[in-house]
Amino acid sequence: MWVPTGKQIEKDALGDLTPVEVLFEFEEPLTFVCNDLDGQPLLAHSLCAEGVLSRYLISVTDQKVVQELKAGRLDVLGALRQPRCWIADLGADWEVVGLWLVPFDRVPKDYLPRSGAMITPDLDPIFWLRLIGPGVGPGNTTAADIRMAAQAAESGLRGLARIALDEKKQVGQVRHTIRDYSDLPYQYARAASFEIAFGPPQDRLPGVDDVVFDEMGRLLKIGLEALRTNGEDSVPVEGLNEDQTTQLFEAIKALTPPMRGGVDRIEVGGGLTDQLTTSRILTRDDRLRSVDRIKASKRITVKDAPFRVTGVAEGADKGLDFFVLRKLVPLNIPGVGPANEIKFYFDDHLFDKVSDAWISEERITVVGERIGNDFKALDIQESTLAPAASEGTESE
Amino acid sequence: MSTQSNAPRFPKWFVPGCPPSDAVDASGTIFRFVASVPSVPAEYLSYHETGERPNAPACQRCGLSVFRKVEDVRRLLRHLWKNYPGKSYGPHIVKRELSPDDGRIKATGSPGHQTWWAYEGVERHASFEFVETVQKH
Repeated sequence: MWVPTGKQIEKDALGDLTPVEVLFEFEEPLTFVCNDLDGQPLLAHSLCAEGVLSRYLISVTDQKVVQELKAGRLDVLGALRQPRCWIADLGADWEVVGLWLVPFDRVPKDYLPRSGAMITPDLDPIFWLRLIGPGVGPGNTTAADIRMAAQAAESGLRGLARIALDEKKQVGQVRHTIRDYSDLPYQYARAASFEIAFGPPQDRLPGVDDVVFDEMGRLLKIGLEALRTNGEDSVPVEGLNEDQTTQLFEAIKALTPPMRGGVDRIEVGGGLTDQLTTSRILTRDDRLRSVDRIKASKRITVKDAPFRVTGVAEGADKGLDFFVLRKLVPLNIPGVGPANEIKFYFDDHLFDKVSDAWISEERITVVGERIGNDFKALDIQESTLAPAASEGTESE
Repeated sequence: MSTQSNAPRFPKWFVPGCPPSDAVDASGTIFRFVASVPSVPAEYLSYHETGERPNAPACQRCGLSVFRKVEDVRRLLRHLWKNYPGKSYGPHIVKRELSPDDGRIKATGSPGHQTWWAYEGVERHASFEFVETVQKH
């Protein structure tokens, strides 16, 4: 084992380092609270082991830090980083075999927990992103940058969730909606290099959520690989249709830094990125490549002229990225032909209007366009039909 | 005439009361992470046999750490790598089927973790098949 850089002190200087509260264990206590000679709490964290000896980093702590750690609002590195700490070699029965007083910055970084790693796996963020660039840091990061970071996460995850849920719904595996996997609860933020982390959905569905997040992670992986290996190719990503491929590159684009301003890279992390084998830092080049891929897919898509149709979006579709318009007026739509119902996809800017329509189930007028075999809502307006007309249609 | 029993038994070096009485007959698929594939018998020794991890619970030190779900192994491995990068875990996941002849098993420690106590004479490393290598970032 490496020789600690610090002052070797009496082995009993801290007293008995037997755990009083184990915070994480695997086969043995790995991170725990123990008490010093005055009964004040110390945080012990396993660094390495050899034979019967285990080496721990010991830091002064308090109940507030321990609570933050257990709640997932503070990472292990943050909890350990204290001006005064010790390296302790512990043998059987927690006997202190060697003890050194060391400055925290002299502890080899290769042995310290990674930034953002939480005390238990279930507390690890699902997704985090960190802004990087000359305009990032205390006094530099602007409100617009912070908004951009939150929007990037929400938009990117929404795109991935949309494709993942499409696939899972086909085999009836999910009950949650896109928002449950994209509008994730804030977990923590760091100012030094602006970083924002998101935890799992509040209303968890154990097993099901993991499957969806795994699929979202897989999509991010294959999307980034496709983007970085053949960025100008318009061939769909393996396993996805053209529409899903476009959605995937839209999602990745949302996670990339803007072409101007002080943020020129965005690093992503968290459980969702565990499958990534390429760089986790998204650059402006990634943005250009994703724009090219999106443009390439749109060039081969034929759009028809917009049309207007009135109908009801039923609440059964609530939370999805499409709505089915029923009770149509007129029944024979110019450019579309006779139809009893139309499934419209919609972009985010229409979410509130669609949501209102789902809740009220009142008639709405949709300005839509046909793209191949799909229909997209361009705008949603209040219906100009008299209520009597709609009620009459319903009773018929 | 002697009435020597052929019933399986646990090694004599198991600590008293081990495995616990609520451990059940081993069965089903188990997963575990190892440093090398194909299997090296030394990786399937208990900490009691190797003398390592002296502060682990004494009875758990007589058994092997296993999991029922491969995703639990992946998740734990990534967590251990992030928090304890100076320690050696994995990176390969292996699996095998257990039968009552292989020993007893019980959930121990953190969620998803189980301890398998093998009967004397059971070749613990045998029959383990490679599943995947978890990528380290």
